[in-house]
Amino acid sequence: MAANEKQISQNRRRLFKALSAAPVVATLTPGSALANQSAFQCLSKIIPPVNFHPTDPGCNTGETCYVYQPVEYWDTSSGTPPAGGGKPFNQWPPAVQALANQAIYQTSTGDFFILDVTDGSLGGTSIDATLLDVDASNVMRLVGPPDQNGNMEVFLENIGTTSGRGLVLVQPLDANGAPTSASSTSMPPTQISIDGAVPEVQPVGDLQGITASCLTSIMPGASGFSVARG
Amino acid sequence: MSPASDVPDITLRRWYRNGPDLIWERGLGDSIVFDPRCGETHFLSDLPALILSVIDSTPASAEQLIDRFAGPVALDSDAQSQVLAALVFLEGAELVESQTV
Repeated sequence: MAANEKQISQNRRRLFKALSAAPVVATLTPGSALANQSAFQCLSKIIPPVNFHPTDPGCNTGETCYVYQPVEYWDTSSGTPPAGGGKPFNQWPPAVQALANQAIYQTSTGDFFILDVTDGSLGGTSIDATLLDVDASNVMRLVGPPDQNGNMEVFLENIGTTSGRGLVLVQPLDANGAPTSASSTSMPPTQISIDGAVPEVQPVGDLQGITASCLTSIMPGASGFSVARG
Repeated sequence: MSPASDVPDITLRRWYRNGPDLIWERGLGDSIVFDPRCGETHFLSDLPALILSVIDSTPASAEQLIDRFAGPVALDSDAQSQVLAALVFLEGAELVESQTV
């Protein structure tokens, strides 16, 4: 009997044996995916206006400032890293590549996508922005705007030494501390990569904006943010 | 009541996988497969594992998938139903996709 025929015969026996039992598919969802779902929920429940305070020590009067976390970031393009120091996708650590595939990014036109960068290029599933209940004047950004070369950048942070990596929430603000439009593309990557402050959130009346637990769900293990209560 | 013609005929579906390669761990019993696209881990009994192993990016009917694995085999209606059920489970777990011809 030829080797191929022998293999087919063995496979037939395996098939009929398999048919004797009910098919079962059980799925184990990773904690990071659950956390991301939680982040979706948090984002969907944000009640505007949410006032983020620009605490970037590098922000001067009259400039557009950003609430930020110190971040490491990776350029989703496979080309030359931008001036800010991003790394191309093929240099990302595997764990970050896996996380990036569960992240959300937003284009300069305000469209939301789920990243799919396994082939080294941007792509993925479009998300209806209305499902996230955000608008152009109060946009929660999980990523930065395109850099000077038009490449999108995913901002992820190494939080502590044991908590792994989490998504970083970044909100662009204008000189008056108000959220800017999602279409802002003026922020160079270097402005976000310096060490510094943490976002503050002030409730408006009895309305609480983004909560500490919400931030925690987006940044698992984060120890360095504050929530100001009026 | 909807006419029977409105009910999608599952036998007309073609199954395929559009995504990165799965990572398999096969033991003595069930198979464990990790989907790097979504980070999910799936525990599969023999039949869905066997079927999934021959699904690629080229859409194929249930009959063609069985043929890929075991050559031409005549399955009775119960066995065909089990194969289709396994495919539905795999699609429910987002391991594969299907299209109707």
